[in-house]
Amino acid sequence: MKITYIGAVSDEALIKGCIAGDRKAQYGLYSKYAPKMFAVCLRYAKDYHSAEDVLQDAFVKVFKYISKFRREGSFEGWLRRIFVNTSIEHLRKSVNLYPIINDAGETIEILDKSVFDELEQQDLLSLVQELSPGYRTVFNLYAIEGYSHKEIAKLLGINEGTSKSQLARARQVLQKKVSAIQKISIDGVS
Amino acid sequence: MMHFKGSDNNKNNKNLDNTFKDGLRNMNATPDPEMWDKINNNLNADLKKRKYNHWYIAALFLLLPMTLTNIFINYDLEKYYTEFAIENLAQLDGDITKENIINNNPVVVSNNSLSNTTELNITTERFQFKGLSNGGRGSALNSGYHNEAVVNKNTTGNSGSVVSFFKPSNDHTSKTNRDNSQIYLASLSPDFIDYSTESDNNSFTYIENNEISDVLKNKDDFKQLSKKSKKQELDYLLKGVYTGASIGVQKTNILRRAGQFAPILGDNVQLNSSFSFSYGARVGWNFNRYLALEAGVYKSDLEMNYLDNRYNKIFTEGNIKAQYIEFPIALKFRYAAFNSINHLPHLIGINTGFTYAHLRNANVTIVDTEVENAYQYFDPSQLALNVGLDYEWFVHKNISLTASASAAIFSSKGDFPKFSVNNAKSDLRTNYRFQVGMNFILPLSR
Repeated sequence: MKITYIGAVSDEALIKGCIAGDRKAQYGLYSKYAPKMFAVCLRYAKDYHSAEDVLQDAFVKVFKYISKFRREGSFEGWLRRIFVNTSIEHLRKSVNLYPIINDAGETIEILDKSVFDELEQQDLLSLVQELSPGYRTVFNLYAIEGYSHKEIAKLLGINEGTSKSQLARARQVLQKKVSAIQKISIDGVS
Repeated sequence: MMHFKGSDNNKNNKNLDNTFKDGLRNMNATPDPEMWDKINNNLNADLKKRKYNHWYIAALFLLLPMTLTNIFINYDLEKYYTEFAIENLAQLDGDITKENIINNNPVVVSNNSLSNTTELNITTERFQFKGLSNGGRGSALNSGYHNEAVVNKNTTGNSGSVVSFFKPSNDHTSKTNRDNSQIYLASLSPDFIDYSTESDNNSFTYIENNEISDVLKNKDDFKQLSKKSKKQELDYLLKGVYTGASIGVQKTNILRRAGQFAPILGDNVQLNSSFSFSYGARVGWNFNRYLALEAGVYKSDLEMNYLDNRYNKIFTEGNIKAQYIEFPIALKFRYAAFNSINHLPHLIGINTGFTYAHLRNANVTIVDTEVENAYQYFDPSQLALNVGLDYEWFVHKNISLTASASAAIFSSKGDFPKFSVNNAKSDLRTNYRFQVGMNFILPLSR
């Protein structure tokens, strides 16, 4: 199906069109938000194909329930929550999200801020994707989406302590990986 | 590279978090160019599915009343032959004697008993009613049936009722007396009778229960008798016990225990029932053509999807599956008549009563993860007030087909009969059910 979508249309107009089931409006909304939302999916999914599945499911869900958007916050925020939630649903289907871990007493390696500056967007994405599903989910929700541990606990059906420990562990893993990248970089230079 | 603990850890965490947040939060990535086509196909499939669902429901709601209306509009009491058994008393020898009959009129008989030795000597003469000519207007039967009635004259050794309600337009041999009586009597439509004069010559003597009940002198007399006979016939066919089974679809929901459901789904979930199956068996007692009492046991499945509206309207989808066992008891008020197709009864009625339901099993799945011990979150014992419409069509004097539509409002057994969610232990459950089935009737008056 080929749809030509011309010009910039406001979110409000797109929403109204989508509620009416207008396929052009749906395509307009898809074109506008797909790149951003696909990036969200990539952060939560284990690979590209899984992210595509999430993107597809989430957009169908958006079009199905768009009439329930109450305009109490930003539309993009509402969309993002649906994509985040759909991503979590997909993860739940295939993996155990929350392994019990014991991270007490581990030493954290502190990195210079300059180390982070050297990382490209794609590197960051790869680092996040390499995390285990549980770590990845909690890290994404806390560090990137800005959820509190209380909210994460409610959303994932876990307690706050588990959320905190998952986050701490995710950070440790990321820091180790960043260190490794730095070492390779230094060795390469010397 | 250094190793620290304490507040430096926090700073380091913040750096790490900010780096990822700044780098990834507003990141864009281009999906496969064919992604929209996939979404579009998905939307089309969903639209088609919803469209079909609406059509199924619409068809169900249209077909049932249309069928019933069609049957009842086409049914006209006076349009059909009024069926009586006719005997010329001059030929009748037995319990009813010639001397009892006024002017030797032809006789309409109903519900009479003959002794075992009685033999009805049916000849062509029995149709030679006074004032009527054979074979034309006013004759008892068309000539073909006239002869047939004569052929089937073996009436020896009968006992029991001598009631004939067969139609002249049908085969006598298969439409004769309801039981195994071998008395083959003619039938007569009042339309065949010449009512131009009200004289004894045109009168019929009506003998019921071995007694002269009435003298039929005009069309109204026949109509009265016709109505009376039909009612008696309906009672005769319907009165008794029956058992049956039915199967159908239903739309229902589930009783959530207030407060206890929240941990898994929240109290503010949007529940969407889908059609599910139910089937069961019943026994009943037809007191007469108007009233029956029925009890049953039904197994009903429930399947519903839900949307969790918690957490700033983030949707979590899930599924609830449950099985109920239900015990309804209902009083049925019916209107019965003979249908125009096979001339057996059909009934339309309303029913009302109570249902006890027990939740046997309940499974809740959030996405693909099954919740453990989900049964505890629902109310297992429920009571309902139910009302329904039903239609019954006799395909044989002992077998009928049924169709029914019913609605029930369930509440927790402890809340019943308060049908309110305020201060209730749980919320309400509704059940809309459509079923078809079959009954086997064991008559008690035949």
